[in-house]
Amino acid sequence: MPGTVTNSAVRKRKRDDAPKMDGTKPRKAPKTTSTGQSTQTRILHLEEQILQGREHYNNIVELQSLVQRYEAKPRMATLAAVGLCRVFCRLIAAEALVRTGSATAGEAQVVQWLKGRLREYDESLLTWIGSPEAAQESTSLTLLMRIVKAETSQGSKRSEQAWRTETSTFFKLIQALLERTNADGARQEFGEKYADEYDDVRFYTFLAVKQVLKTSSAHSEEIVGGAVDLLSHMESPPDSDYQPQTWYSADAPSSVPNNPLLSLATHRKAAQETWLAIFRSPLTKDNRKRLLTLATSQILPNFSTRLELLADFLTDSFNAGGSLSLLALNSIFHLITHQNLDYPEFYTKLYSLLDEDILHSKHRSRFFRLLEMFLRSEHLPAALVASFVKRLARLSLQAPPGAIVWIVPWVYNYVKGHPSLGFLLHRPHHPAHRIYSTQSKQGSDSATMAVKDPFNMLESNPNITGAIDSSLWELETLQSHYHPNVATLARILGEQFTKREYVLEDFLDHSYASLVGQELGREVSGKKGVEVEWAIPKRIVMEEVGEGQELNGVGRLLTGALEAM
Amino acid sequence: MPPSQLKALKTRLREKGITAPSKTKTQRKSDGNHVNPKDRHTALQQIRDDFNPFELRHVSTRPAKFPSTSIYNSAGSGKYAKVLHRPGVSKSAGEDMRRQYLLPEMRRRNKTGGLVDRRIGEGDEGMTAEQRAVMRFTKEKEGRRGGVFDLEGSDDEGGMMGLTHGGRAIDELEVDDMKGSGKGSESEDEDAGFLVKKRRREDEEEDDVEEAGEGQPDVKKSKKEVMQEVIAKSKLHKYERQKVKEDDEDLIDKLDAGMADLLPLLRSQQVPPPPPAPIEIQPGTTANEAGMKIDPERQKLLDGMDRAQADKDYEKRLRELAQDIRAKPSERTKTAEERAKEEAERLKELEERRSKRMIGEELSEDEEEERRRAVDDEHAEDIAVDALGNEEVGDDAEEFGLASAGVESIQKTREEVQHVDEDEFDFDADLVASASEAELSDQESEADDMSAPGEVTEVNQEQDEEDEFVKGFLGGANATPIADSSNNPILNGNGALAFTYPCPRSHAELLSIVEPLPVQQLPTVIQRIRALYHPSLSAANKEMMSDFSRALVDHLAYMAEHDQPLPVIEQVIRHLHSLSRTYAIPIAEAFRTHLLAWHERPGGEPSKGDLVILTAIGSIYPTSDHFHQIVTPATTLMGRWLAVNAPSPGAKTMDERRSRVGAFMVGLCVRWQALSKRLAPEAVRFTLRVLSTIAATTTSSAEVAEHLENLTAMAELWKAKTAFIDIFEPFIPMLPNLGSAAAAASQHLSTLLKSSRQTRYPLLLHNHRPQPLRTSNPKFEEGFNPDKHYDPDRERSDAAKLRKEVKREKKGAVRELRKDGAFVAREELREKRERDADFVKRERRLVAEIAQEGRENQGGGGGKGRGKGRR
Repeated sequence: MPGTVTNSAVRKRKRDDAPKMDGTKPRKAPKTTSTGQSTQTRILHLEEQILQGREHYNNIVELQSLVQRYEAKPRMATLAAVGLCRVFCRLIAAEALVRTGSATAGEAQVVQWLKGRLREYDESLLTWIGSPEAAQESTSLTLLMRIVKAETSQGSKRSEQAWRTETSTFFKLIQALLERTNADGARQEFGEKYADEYDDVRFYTFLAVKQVLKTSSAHSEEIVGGAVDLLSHMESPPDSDYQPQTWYSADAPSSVPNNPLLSLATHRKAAQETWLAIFRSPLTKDNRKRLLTLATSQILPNFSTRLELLADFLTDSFNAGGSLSLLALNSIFHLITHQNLDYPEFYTKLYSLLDEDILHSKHRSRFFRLLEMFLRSEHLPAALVASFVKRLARLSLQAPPGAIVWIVPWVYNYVKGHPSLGFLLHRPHHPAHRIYSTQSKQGSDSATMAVKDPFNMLESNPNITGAIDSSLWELETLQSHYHPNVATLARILGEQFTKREYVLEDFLDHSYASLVGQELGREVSGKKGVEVEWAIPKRIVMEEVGEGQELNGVGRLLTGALEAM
Repeated sequence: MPPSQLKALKTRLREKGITAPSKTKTQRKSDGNHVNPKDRHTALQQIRDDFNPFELRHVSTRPAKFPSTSIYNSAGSGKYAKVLHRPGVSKSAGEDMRRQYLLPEMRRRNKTGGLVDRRIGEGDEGMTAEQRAVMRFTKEKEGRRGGVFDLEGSDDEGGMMGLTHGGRAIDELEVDDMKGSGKGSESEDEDAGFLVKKRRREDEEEDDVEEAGEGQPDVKKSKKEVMQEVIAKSKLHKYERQKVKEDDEDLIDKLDAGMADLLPLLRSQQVPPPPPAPIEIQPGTTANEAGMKIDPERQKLLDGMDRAQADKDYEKRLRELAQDIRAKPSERTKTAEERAKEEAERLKELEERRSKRMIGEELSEDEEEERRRAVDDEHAEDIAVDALGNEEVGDDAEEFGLASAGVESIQKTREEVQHVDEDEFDFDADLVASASEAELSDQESEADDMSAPGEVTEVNQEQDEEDEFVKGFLGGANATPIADSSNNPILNGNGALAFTYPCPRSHAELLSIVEPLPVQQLPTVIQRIRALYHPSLSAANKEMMSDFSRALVDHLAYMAEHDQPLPVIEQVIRHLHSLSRTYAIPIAEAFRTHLLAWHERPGGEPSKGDLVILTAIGSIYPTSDHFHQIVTPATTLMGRWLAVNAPSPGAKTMDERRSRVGAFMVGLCVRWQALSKRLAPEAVRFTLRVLSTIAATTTSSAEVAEHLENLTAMAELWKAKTAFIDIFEPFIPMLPNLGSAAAAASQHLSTLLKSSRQTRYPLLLHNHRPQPLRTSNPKFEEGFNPDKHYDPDRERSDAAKLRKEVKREKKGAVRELRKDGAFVAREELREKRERDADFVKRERRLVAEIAQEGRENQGGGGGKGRGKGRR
């Protein structure tokens, strides 16, 4: 029975936030025998003493020393840290860290000393952030945030200071979060537990991040990386009709009528400023990629006034090439459609992305998805769409099956959507067609006269490539692709267009691996048997004539390959 | 004012000539049209009906439905008009019926138990006690006499027997039904059926009683009974004849038995006693059987063997007899011309099959396979639907055989599940293989039986080829092995080469045999093993050889890994080719295993073995097929390698290994498509990239030559494609940079390009006949009847019919119950009234009696009381 009682007491104390020292503790102390327990008791004892009076303040130093010896005794250090946190919270709440005007020199000295201890404590906890141990990191974050809570809950003026000043616990915490490269867990926890939950934390986080970016110059790339990481863990800002209402500090700003924190615009402005600060700082490719993936969901909603700056950033990203251009285009498209951005070069840029490698790249399916989204509108000029169609068709002549399999139904859908593209597949002779007017010779039988392809592959402007006057010979050729499924699929372009639309999503994620795996995964059907060439050749790798000692074409290639291996 | 009813009646009667003014005798005589009584009766009935408007209901209560839509139903001519209802009659019939059945039931209500006196005439008031006694007595007598099993009884008693139900003859039951329907027809048709059904039980009971009264001897015989009698008599005669015959036979048998004893007497010479009877003749057999010669089978049958078994045996014998070989003309030796012609036909047929496969047309015997695939796909689709949870989204890609990744993984797991009992699986596959390939192996031994000349030659051809590999061991010493002459000169003198080997059933076993020998002797070893374990020698050899074929495929890869000479590899490939005639599936599986290993190798790099395997695949399997279980994955794998390993455009150096392996693969791709001319985009891309890289750098001329050769081959292969220009134009600018070696290729390519430019014109893919708009004509019914339901869905119309019937029955039942209730109430009221009246009567009588008594007691002084009592 006594065992259970003590257990419940321990649990209860751990759950309780406020440092409540009741009579249960001493009673429990004698029952524990191990040394660890005795140290624990001592910590509690010290803690209790501090709260009893000023004369025991030196215990803080002792506890602090325990906290710093985390490597040796992690459990003790944690306990001491928790105890100290309680102590400081109480002291702050009791205004022991505030120098009042009427204080004596001695009192002022005590206050000064306590402040120094608090800083020391903060510092030691901040060293825990970024440690590989998740529990330690999490503990320090929680304790620090508790201190922040205590600090920011002492009247509007002083809490404002506690949020903003560079020496405050909060600021230092943010700084630590940004600077430590391996504090991913802490950043995520901070974002999810505090910044997302409390409006004021989010607001001041934005401010603090901006501040940190401004002040620090050394290792700025890592700091920016940390900032991007931290901000990415924060939820996208609230909707436009959202009223900030959850507060972390105890004295809510809602009590003050004209507090700027109450308006969403202030929040947005802070976020926008911070993002701009990030854009201005040097970015690695990874960070840029990260930013671009965040752009549509988290950054764009915050930008209400300075869209052009964002657009500039996106243009820069586009020029960086590769997958970045694609992501940047996605954001630009979002800006165009949602924020009414004027961006005349958009389709030209998109067109320029269609090169030989895009069909072989690993983010092919993402590109296809976006391409489909950008071109979906039926208000686009047919000439422009035709350029895309023709260019993709041309590229598909060297494309892997996975890409062709998407391109064919895509072309189908667009021919269906833009009836004038039907001429790409079926162009009966008529003098009005430009392709017939460019016939090389004026023969009598003009219908069978050879034509020149008016499509100009090198033209960069999709509006004037001449693709609309061309013909899709490439896709017709692909009807004899070596893979039976691809060939069958390509035949849909030559059949009646009875199906309304193909669901492109179904064709997206095919690759060599899926094609081969699909076939090889199947067992050989016993019923049908396997067709075998009926004639057994006399020679396979050797020359037919003579004594058969000479290698033939295959043999030469094979020996060449075998030798090279 | 209309005339009164009476006057109208009189006029009608007079009009009909029923009440004519009285005529004289002469008048009556001269009057030819004398009204006969029947006419008179109908006339009267008609008049009666006319004058009682409530007696007849002319039309149905239902209104005429859509008279304009139906020719049958226009005013008055509809089918409803034909039915004349007599509500009064049907009502009184119903009333009678109720009185008859319901009333007794009602009276007996709340009375449980009791006896039903079923003695003859018990409830009948019209019979005297004496009559009853007489009837009962006669009945009793009859019952005695007419026992069914009474052997002494006459035959016609037995003739009365027949099928019965519930102790009654079937015929009577039917009659019963008829009676019921007859009764029902009088009442309202809706009610009738129900009433009959309801009352049937009582009817039956009653019939029982009636039946008891039947069967009197004086009843005139019906035709049926007469017939039965006749039949019985003829049977009796037949039986008697049989009996006489049996008696005769018995007698003959007896005499025959005595014959054995008699014979020696006749010959006057004593012979030793007959040998003991054969074993199959049982000791209990009679003398006549012992003496006669009896087929043992028949004997068994007689002894009570299973009849079915005997039949089966008989059938078997019959079939064997039918299949006995009959004499037939032997195969004529064919002339050279004929043989050449047959050969040409065979080739033509094979080529036709090949081109069909190339187009992708399913051969007729492959339909099953396709169905299986379809089922598979369906199954996969089901799974996909399940996984996604929404069924309206069918996977578009699925139609083209492009299963989504999720499905694929599911298939994989399914396959894994199957592989748990791998032994069984393998066994199965073997069975199937032997079934489908049985003819191939059997043909060799039974080639003479074949009738179709084409097949015979095919068989012969195959046998020739088979001989080429096995000869010398099966055929005899005169045939020299071909491998011997070409590259294996040391065969004869080598003592290390054993003549018999255990059949290697795995690659390890094969290695253990082959390892110590020189490589050149491998074909000989294979030859010997094939000869030793030829499937025609033993049934178990088939399985062994299929394992051996697998091992051989593995060995092919092994040989390449260990750089063994190509001529030997070639021979092994040829052996495999010949083996895969018979063991197609095991070999195909082995190849696929190698492909899968390549596919799953990280980086997708082929090993040396894989290259040789690819070479073997190209030689063994028809690469022109639209789809082939081995060639298609192999091509795709090559395509993948080419796509992944094409040098990037800016590359400054060319990896020699990549270049040469690539050249080999491009070369293979081109050769494989030699017939079907399919496009391989990756090959184009790879060659383009390699050549452009080489053009930028300087590399050995040998490689350039390989790639240029490939380029020329590709150009030649795809010169008919419409996109030829688009494919090969990019090559033109880089060819001059490749030096003199490329001059020829450049020349060739530009010639082809030129001709292609002159023949290209815009696509005309959609020369389809315009599709007519789909019209859906309303189906016109000749002679439409609105009462009929023209529901094409049979199930639905049946259900509707049934529902309607149920509804009608229900309505009828409700109405009937209501009428029953009214009847019961009425009867109860009547009874109550009677009781009351009775009571009042008795009361009065009692009071009168009491008053009488009082009066008598009081004497004359009761004047007041009398007055009171009367009041």
